[in-house]
Amino acid sequence: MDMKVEKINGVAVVILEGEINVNNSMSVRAFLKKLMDQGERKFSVDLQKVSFIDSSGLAVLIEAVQNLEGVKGQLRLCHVNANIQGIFQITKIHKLINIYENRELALKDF
Amino acid sequence: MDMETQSLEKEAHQHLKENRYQEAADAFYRAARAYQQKKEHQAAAFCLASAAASLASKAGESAFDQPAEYYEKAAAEAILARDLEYASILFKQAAICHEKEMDYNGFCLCYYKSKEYQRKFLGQYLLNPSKRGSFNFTSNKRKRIFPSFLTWLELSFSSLLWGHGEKPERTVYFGMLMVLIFAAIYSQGFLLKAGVAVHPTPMEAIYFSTNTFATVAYGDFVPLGFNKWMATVESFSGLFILPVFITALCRKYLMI
Repeated sequence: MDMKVEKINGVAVVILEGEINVNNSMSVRAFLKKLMDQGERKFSVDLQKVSFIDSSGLAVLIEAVQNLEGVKGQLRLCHVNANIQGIFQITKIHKLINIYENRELALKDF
Repeated sequence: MDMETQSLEKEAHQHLKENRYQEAADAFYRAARAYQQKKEHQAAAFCLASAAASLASKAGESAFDQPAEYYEKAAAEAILARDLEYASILFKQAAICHEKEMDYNGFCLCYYKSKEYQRKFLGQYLLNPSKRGSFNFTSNKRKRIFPSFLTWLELSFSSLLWGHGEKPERTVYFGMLMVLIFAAIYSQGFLLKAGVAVHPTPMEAIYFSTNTFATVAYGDFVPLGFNKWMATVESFSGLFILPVFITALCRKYLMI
């Protein structure tokens, strides 16, 4: 599981790569928390290279969104590939979460 | 246990890809149980919702009662995780499955819960907009508060008036409450009784209020002064509330 961050126009673009599962979801959580502790409030999470995300990974993303809302921040998802889109649809969270087709659209809407 | 959960979910998704829905649902269910044991309710809710969706995909060839049950379990986990908006969506999915199964009691209960949790979620959000507990609102929060307030108001009124169409007895209680409130108002003013303006007794006020609510005008009491306007408001309310009761009752009994 690789995690990178790029700062674009005041937005922390988090690029995740590989599988987000019960064994590494806490690392993703810690990574996002560290960025928040550093003062980042606007996040765009790029899931293009994420091959699989399990329920614990989804829970981490949601927790991050909730925590950010508590400090007037925002988190958006972008570049969601077909595999992950399928997981979102089966869990019905696509009805709740804002998903953007690509990074540019996600950044534009902040 | 972590490795087991990980492999179970991957296995479930693999089954889904190969259209083996029952196997996928079983694997999701076992993963959900593992999350439940760890008290990770949000993850358990996702697994149960996935199990339900897998079974619903299979249900073209069998029944929707099991997906409905799983959606209800998923909603219960979402409530434990304090994600009321997700719980509302899951109860709605459960209601859809119950309706497909023609289990209207199940449908009514889940539909009611879906609306109630949506109302509670909005109430929670309005009380503390910075901690809304979910993730649907993104930009410009101020613009979201007013529509959310209107929706909350509408849902609260619907809940009070007829339990979102599922509890006709509430319309009766609502009507009785209105009759008593208006009776209290009438007793403060004057009514014309046999050509004489009188302060009505409590029983006379209730009698007049009930007749006005039911839009029956016997003519033995005539409102005077401010009571005229109150009687107009009450009869107008009665005109709307009585059909609401009939509609809720018919809806309930036609479904059983």
